[in-house]
Amino acid sequence: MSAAENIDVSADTLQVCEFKIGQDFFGISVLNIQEIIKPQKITKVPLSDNYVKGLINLRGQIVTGLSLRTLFGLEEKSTEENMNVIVRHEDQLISFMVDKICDVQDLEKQDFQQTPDTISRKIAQYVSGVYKLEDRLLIILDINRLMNNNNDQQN
Amino acid sequence: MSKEDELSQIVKDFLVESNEGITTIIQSLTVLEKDPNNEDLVNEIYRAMHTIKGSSCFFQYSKLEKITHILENLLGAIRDDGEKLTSNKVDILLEGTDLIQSYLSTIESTSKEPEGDVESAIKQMETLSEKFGFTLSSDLVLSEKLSKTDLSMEEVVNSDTAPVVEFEKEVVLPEVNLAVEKAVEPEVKEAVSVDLVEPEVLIDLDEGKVTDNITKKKNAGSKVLDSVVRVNVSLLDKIMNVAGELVLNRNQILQFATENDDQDLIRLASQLDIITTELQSDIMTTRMQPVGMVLNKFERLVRDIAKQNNKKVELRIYGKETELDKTLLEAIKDPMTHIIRNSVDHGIELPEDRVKAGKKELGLLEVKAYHESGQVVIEIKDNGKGLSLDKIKAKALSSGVCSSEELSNMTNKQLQKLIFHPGLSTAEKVTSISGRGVGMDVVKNNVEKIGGHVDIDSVAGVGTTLTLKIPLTLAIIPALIVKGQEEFFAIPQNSILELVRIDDSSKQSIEYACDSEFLRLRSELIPIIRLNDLLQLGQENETLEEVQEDNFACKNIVIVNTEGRVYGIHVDDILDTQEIVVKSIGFHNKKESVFAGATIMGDGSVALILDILGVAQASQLQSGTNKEDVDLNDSKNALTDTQSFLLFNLERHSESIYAIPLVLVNRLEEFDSTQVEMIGSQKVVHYRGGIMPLIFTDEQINMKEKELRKNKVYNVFVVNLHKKLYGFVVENILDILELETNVDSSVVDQNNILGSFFHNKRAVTVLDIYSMIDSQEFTKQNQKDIVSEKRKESILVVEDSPMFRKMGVELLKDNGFTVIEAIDGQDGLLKLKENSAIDVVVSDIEMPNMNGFDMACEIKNTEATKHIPMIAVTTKFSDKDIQRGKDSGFKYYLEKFKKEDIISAINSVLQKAG
Repeated sequence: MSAAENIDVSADTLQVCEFKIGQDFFGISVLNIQEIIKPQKITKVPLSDNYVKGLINLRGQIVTGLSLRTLFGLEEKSTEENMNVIVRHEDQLISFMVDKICDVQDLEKQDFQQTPDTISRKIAQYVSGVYKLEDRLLIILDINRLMNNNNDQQN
Repeated sequence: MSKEDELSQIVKDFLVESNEGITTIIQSLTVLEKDPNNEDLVNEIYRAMHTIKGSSCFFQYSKLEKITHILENLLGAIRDDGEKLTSNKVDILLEGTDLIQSYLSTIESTSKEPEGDVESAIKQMETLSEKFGFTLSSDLVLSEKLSKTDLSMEEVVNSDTAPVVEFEKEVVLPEVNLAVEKAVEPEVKEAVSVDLVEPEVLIDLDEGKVTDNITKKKNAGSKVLDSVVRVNVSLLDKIMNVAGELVLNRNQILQFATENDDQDLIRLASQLDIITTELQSDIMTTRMQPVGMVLNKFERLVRDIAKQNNKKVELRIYGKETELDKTLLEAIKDPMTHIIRNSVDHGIELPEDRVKAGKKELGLLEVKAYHESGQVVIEIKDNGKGLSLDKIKAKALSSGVCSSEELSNMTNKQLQKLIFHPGLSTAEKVTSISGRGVGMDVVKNNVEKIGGHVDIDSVAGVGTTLTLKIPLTLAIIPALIVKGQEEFFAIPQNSILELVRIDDSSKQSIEYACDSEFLRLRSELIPIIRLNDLLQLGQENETLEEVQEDNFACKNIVIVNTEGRVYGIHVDDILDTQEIVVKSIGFHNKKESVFAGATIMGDGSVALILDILGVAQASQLQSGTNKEDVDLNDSKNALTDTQSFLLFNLERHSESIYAIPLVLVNRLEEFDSTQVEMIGSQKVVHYRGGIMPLIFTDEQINMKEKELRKNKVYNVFVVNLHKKLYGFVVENILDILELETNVDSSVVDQNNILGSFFHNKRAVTVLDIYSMIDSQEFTKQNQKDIVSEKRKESILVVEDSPMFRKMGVELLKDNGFTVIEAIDGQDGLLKLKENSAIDVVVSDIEMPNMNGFDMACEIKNTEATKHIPMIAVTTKFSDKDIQRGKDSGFKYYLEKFKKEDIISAINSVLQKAG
């Protein structure tokens, strides 16, 4: 992980896994991602926050599934077709449930731009910046902010 | 084997550790030679050497200590005084290390150091250094020798004559080479602190040979070394996790196999099952460590605190070898330390106070560890002044924990448990050790965090016992799988008391009070929590009317106990019990404290584990049913005698239930009607090489005599009485029931009935086996034969329950004693006064008016009766009770109606008396 954390957007190139939530494209550094798995059977956790969709059995490990859609305040959608982006963070396995997995993108530094103010605050708090691609904007999510923010909410 | 037996564990540990140290030293030395300025390596070698020295000193291996000390000095010079490490120094160190190794292997094989005195070891080192052409600086060696107090003056003088002193720096090259060659010989073992010659001189030392030498030593290697591997705990944790996953996988395969009717698959699956179970238990054992690791540390603690407080305390530790999972062991260390501190600090009195109280000056603190029903129990018992209930009350009042009204309603036990309440400390004086008001509650929390349980029992003036119950391991636990709507949940088995199923036919039902549901279970009101409501499963919450409507459907209720709080969880379905692997769930779920974790089920789905305490808190069951006194797991401590009955009925479809005390029943058998034969008018069967008369129970209680039916299987319970077996024929054996009810004998209208009791609102008739047997013609004949050997001793039987009294009396009469009966303690004392000729007292413990303990104390303290031996016969079997029994003067403490034990106990006390 330490290696992963050292890679920030200022490095010359960044490899991210691109995925789609709603109409927007997001990316997480590939170094943070353990694997991507197809929709799984999920066990609901009663009484939990609404973005905690439940628990997944990943080869005997328990993974907590978080819906980014819900976290970003977008309209709820059935979780059944969600792809799972599995991330290991401080010994916790987390699955970010996204609508669609796109591709791995090599991003050049010159395309980077700070988070535009117009992005909704609900999302902006997890974003480290955006990359201008030819036909779209790719929003880079910051794993640590996603995690820490959840911690805050918890407290 | 014998060799290993001779070595105590601690010496083995020493050997393992020292050999590891040596390996480190050798490795580091060879690296260091190439990189002589590496201070870290020097430090590492120094530390390793120092450790070996320290432990040799501890085990009083004085020669080993000396050698290591000298080597350590050599290293010290390099480390601290900036002396250069030359390859010849390395040689000396390596040779010295070899020497240590040879000592260690001698210790291992003989458990002693090699022959010779300390001097010889030093000599060895000196010679070694000489061989390498070094001078040990004389003062170093000398001071060495002087520092060793057990060296005589003579030896010191000798050291002056030792060659060391004569060595000088200017040793010439050829000599050195010679020395090198000699040094490689295995038996050359000596060294000492050194002054270097020319650094380059010895560079061409034949390293190969030295290494060779070392290898040989290693091969000669030793049993202890080969049989022990030190493994990093984190690796063990990982193995444990993998094993856990294997268990899950096995569960899945087992389930799959049972669904598929493939014989091969089933066979393989069951094999996998066995192997996995074995593997799992073996892996568990790797994490097990004796509690002694923690307990031993208390010796010092107790000594220090006692000294600080001018108290005299003896610590006795039992069961050090009891094993516990390492993580749990770590977890109980602090709570245990706290409890022990407390016990010494304000449990045990000052010596003068103890003398005043009529106790020995020396306080006794006992720590016992043992296994009990899958848990490790640790008892910490002091014979100090005990808890002062008055002080607890005052403190509870002043700190506002309880109102005086609440206090007055509390039992002693509940009052004692208040010390676990945050903010209560009864120490008048706040010391550095205890009395700051944070303490027992923290202890309790810590122990409960790991799934354990703390209990306290204290008798003012006699002492306090704290009992910690710790689960053996955390990772894999048995749990009950239940269903709420479509979701599965696991409830840890250790918090489950019982399962209750309510349907149309059962008389129990859920009752309502202020929108809350209760279950009336054996006259206890138990609050019910609906799992579906609590977890907001399913659609809308049902309204109360709907709830009442579905009252007719059957209900599954899991009765659980947490911190003495008993409640029921209403679940949709109860599946089975499983060994589940506890997995923590991410922080996202932490605030949902109703879950203790998650596990993976046989079908691969995830199930949440309910946290019973969390559920109670979430449902605001603050007061709940406080059932601290009647701990169902501890039924032996219950206030009344528990009696087990065998329930049966006598006629097909008969509503009446009959019972006999289970203690009377020898076996349950079935006989086919073809096996039944007639001797005269008596029906008998051939049983265990003899003839056993069959008594048709229903005939005995004035029911019509029945024809012997063909093709019928008879249910028979076999009773052993008067040294003969009797078979009682009944229709159906129904159940075994343990209850505390006393048999009511007020409505008995005929001889063969002892009384009745109510169970589940139904009357159960208790039959009188004795009178039924006595009324048989053949028995009368029999008895005459048996009771021939009349004995002159008379025995007083004190017992409140008419049934047990009768059983006791019969038993003793069978054995030829004259028996006098008494119905309680007071009556017992009275009877003793009336009959001066009583030889033995056999008494129950739990009795009205005066209990067995008090009666025994009275008898013991009365001049006229104190010689009479007493035997307690009871169902109370906690250690505490047994101890109390012993203290009260009972010679034996026996289980109720273990007939042989009682007779042999009587015989033994009579022999002693005679």
